[in-house]
Amino acid sequence: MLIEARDVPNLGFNFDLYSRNDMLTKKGLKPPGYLKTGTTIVGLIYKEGVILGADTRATAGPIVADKNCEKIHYMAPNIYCCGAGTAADTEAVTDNISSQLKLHRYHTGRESRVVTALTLLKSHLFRYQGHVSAALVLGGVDLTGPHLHTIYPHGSTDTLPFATMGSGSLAAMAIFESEYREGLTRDEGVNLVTKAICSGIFNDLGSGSNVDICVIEKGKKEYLRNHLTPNPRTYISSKGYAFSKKTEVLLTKITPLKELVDVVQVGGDGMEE
Amino acid sequence: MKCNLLILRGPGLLPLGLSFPPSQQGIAYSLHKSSSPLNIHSHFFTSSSLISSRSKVFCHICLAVISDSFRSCADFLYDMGDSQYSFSLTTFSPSGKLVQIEHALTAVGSGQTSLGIKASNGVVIATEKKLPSILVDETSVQKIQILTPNIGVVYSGMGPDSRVLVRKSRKQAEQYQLLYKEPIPVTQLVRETAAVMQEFTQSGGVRPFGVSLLVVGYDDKGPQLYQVDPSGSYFSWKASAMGKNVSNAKTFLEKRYTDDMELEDAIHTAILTLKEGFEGQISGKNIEIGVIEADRTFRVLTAAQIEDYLQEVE
Repeated sequence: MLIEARDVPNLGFNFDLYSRNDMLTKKGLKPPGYLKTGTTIVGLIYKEGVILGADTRATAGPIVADKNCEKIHYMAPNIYCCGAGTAADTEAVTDNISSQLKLHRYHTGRESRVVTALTLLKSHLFRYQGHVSAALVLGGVDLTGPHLHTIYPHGSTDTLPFATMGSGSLAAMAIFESEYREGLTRDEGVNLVTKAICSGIFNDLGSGSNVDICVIEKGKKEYLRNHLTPNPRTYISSKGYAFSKKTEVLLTKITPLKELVDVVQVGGDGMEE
Repeated sequence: MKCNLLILRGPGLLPLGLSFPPSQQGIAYSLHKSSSPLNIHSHFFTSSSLISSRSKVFCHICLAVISDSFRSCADFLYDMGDSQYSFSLTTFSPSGKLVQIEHALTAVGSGQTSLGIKASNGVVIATEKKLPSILVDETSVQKIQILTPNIGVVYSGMGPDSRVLVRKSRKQAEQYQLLYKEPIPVTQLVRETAAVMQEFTQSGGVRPFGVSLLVVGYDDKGPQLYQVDPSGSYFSWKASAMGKNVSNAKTFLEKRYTDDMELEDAIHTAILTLKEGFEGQISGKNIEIGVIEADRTFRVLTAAQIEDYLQEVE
């Protein structure tokens, strides 16, 4: 009945059913699978702010489960977060912390800071001891300037000028390491991020489909959903199969089959035996 | 010779102290009135006594004066339910009223005037902001608060109580949003806030809130204005006032209100109503106005904007 001053939940995972689950697995029951996001996610700081990039493939084992999922999550009007790892975990964690940030904004009357989001996320992940499989690239611009951080599933963080995470991180990092420099312009930054994500898309099986970009500057943001679509889906044409126009029609002759072959109706109703 | 001293502090009781057998040496026990109704302490002191052969034997026995009932000395475990704070402060009177809620409404009635008016294309709330002294930094005080991007609230009565409710309501709105992925409808938020206020009229050890809230919002059902009382009852109003000058303000509003009022008219009417009972010179610094227009975003007007409206009204 007493109202809590803190709005943050204090609970972690409940492992009471561990021995029961272990016993079931030993008896042959397969545990339910989960959707991972393979993924290439990147972020970099340019002259006026932060650019985040992500691919759009979600995998369930060897199968592509979602060809165009959204991996750049909203945290605050000036903060966005890319998520790699288990899709449900990244969604839930970013939603939860986004909600906490919103309440904090109402209470303080101020814009959220990136370090606030960072601390809330890392505390949450640490509390769950790495069982929440979410690897995040957090970026935003607040009154102290542009910031970019990476957060690992166990709760450790890095602060970097450019960062990559996910299964395609090595491919993307190769691009960043060779071409990043300080003081990039917006277009240069967007091109570099696109290049890094494409490198992940084409060289990593866990990443694919399209490129999403989010540009955050002081006071404004641009969410460029499907900024680049290098893997368009081809569908069966509604016109049916048509010969290519270069084929010359030499002769058109129609021969009814009855003239060449005897068509005999067997007694009975045809289909019945 | 060993001496055992047992001191027990129970809620609302003076401590019961027993010592047997008696000792001459340094037995110190303190008599404190329990301040917190939910604490039970027990202290065990063991001290060995050096009793000389010629020392007198004397016995200390203090009996606790128990407010409700007399308990035996052997009964060391105090049941929290029997303390004087365990029952609800809001108990029915023989006439069927809850006296504490009546008193809470009196507290509201002695608070600063606040009012709200629902227009056809928006809704406005306004309140006096009389500060206790000219030395108070008026920019640090804000009575009108935002709950969600399209819902705002103002109160009459005890400020600290309203802060608790505002915090709770904001959290409930967020939880609703997280669960249903839609912004909370105004009626739902009002219902949940009213439920909290009702809880505090039917629980042990707590008192009702000393505030009435005017909640305004603009959702799919259009602009809405609700009043929530300390009892937990809520009403939807076209125009309402609360606080010190409530009867005059309500009469004024009844005369002035029309169903097809526009928001600008509503703001002017709100200012005029406040002006009616205002002691001293009204200005942008000692009233607060919050509006929701057709864009469905709640905002508090700045002092400069209020000054503009005041000039229009004159």
